[in-house]
Amino acid sequence: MKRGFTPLADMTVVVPIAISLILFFAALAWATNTVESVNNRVNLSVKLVDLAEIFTAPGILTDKEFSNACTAAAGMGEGISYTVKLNCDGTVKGKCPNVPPPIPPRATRLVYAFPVPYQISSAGLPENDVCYLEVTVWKGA
Amino acid sequence: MERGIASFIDTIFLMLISATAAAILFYSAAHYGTSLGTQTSALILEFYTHQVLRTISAVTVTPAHCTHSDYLLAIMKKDIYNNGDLSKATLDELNAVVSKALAPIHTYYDYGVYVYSPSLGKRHLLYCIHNPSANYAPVCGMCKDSNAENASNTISGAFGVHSAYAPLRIRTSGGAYATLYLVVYLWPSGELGKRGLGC
Repeated sequence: MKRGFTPLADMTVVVPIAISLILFFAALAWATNTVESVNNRVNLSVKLVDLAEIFTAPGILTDKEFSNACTAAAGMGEGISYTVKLNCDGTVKGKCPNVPPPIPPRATRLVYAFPVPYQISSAGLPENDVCYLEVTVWKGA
Repeated sequence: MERGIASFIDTIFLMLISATAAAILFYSAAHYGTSLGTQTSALILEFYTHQVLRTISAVTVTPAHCTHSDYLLAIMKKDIYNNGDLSKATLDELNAVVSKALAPIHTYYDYGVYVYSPSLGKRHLLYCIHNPSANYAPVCGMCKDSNAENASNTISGAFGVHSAYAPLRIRTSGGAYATLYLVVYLWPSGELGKRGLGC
């Protein structure tokens, strides 16, 4: 009578197969996770630049332009949350009124401050100073 | 016995194949991440560089000897019309605007602003670089004429440099028109800071 397959007796066969499967699936899981994480970061970066472009499109930012840009940016949600602030020498001159959900724990968050010319005075010859547009984006509707 | 050895060899082959597949997966995922990471950083930095140029184009400054402010570009045009070149004070104003615009990322990035007019033969380069060999101490300065041109060539030929440029139409004292080019370079602190710009 022929002997059947017994895992304990055929350790020389079972162990390499088990190692192979563990190695392959571990690599597959890591690769999937990495690709997903990279894609998430790419989406966030593209959204960050798209948002900043809405605010910088007028060239010189005024209070009115900032408010208009906030309204225009309001439709850009779709799974990405954001906040936009206009910071001039440490003073917050403007903040978009949207109320985003809190940042989930361990979620990737991108924060960038882009320089913008901001009109600090429009009396006589306009005075434009260098201010910063602080854009924060993260995943989560 | 022979059958047992054959099975063992088969599993060793399976292990080799799965190890190769795993290695390919590791390599391709890591490469994908690095490549896209570089591209997304480039996207943001490219936008940042253009924003610096837009800021220079629209910002107003009050020169030391004046009581009222004027556009920085207008002051540059006046300088060339009156003196045939940019004055030290105007270049300082330009440097102050650029360094303020780059303040949020100044710790990790070096910059250069190249202002030149081929027809007038005037060239200026303002720069600020961090030297990795000296604990990333910032070295800022200005170059002129051929030194500026050489330094600009060094920067533009280096790896990972982002640039944005704008041509400006200017009038000279003789009434003729010329073109003044404004180029902003931005790059991560590193090798170029170690080598220096040679001016």
